[in-house]
Amino acid sequence: MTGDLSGRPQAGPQAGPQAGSQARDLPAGGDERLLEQAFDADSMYQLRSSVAAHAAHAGLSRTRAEDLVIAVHELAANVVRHGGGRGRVLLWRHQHAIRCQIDDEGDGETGDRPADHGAADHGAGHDGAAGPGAPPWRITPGHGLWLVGQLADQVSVAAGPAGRATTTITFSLAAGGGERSPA
Amino acid sequence: MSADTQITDLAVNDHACLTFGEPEELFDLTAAYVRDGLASGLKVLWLSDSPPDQSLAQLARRGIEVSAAVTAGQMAAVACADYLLRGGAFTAGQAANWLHDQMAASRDDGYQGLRLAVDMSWALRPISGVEQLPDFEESVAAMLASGTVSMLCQYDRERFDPVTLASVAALHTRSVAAATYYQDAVLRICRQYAPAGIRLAGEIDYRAEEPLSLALAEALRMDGTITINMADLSFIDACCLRMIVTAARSLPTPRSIVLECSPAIASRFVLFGATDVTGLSVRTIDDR
Repeated sequence: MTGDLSGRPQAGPQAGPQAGSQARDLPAGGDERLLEQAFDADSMYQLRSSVAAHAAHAGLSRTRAEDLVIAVHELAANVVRHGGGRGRVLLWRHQHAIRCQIDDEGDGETGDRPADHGAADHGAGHDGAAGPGAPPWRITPGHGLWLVGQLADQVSVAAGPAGRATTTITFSLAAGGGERSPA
Repeated sequence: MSADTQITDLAVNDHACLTFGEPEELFDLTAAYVRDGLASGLKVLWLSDSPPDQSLAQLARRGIEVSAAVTAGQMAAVACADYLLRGGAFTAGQAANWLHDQMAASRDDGYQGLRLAVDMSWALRPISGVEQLPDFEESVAAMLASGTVSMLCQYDRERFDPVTLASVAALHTRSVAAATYYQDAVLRICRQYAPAGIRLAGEIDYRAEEPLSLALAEALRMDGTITINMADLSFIDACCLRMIVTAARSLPTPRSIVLECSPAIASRFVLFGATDVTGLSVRTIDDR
């Protein structure tokens, strides 16, 4: 469980639909800007609260709002843990969708933890320590980014300033639109 | 006053002061106290703050065979207000007499001892005589000193002020609380006693990797089925989802693990392949 999460996302989250080198997708004329918030390791909870409040207010269903919150959290956590350590979230309404851009704005090489992410595998059992014959994880590796790809209607990744990644996710506001997480 | 004792380690004549932070914790610790009392053949009486049928239902939900015990007369749940208070007033002398009668009755019925749990939340309401509570606690200590009657006084630590808590705690033989792995303003990770396992409440993410890892490792060392109670968990991220599913996968075959959570969190576990893991079941509970 070291590879994808620590990798610079030049290639983008592989599971994400439309991963690629699309240009930055900032709010355009007619878009309604909902939230701009900086984050670091110590403000993840505040970030989730803000995104949840704005997502609900903008008309996402409760389930989709929860999906958006975890998607933003995973992308921000990736910046904090394996990117520059801090970043910025921009949330806006674009036509019948909510878009959210997560920028890595850090200047450090890594965030609050080493990129090899070794501590994660102590105690509760390393992926490989499940015993002989245990089936491998069906999701390997980079579960956070994989999850984002599963939940967002669209994911695009672009290189930002100084090679830092910028990820934009889209959640449709149309009734019944977009993939929903299984109930 | 010793450090916190585990609910499962109380002696037959302890006068213990239980502090709890949330209803789930109160019901869990009470369930363990009742379970162990019934198993030892003691009479068990719970003076609860919620209506008695709801209190019994909470115990049954945690696997305690309450209806059989109630039918047999070994267990009863009653409303505090009906027993400890007379006409809405509290007097230490009357409460002590009541306790004396209960001790005598359980002896007459042939029980080897009595286990009492008393939710003290009534003392938060404007009740005349509430200032006599320390006197009552003091007389209880004297009455229980020798014998086979134990009493668990239950104090909500969020609602009682710290000064009151400290002064009444000093009148008890032990202080009891759930073993806590982690606690801050948004997250609590503690042990669960009935059914055995751990409980996560609030919001959990990768920052709690270390305490979650420790809690899971301890849970895996317990015997039998392990329950991870996430009834009061509103957020869990990919890192912690993965840790829990990985822990479940590491359990040897005859053992099993039950995840109790809201539909929203259950759907995350399903996405992470929880339903493919032998011995792992996801029990969805009503959204609160």
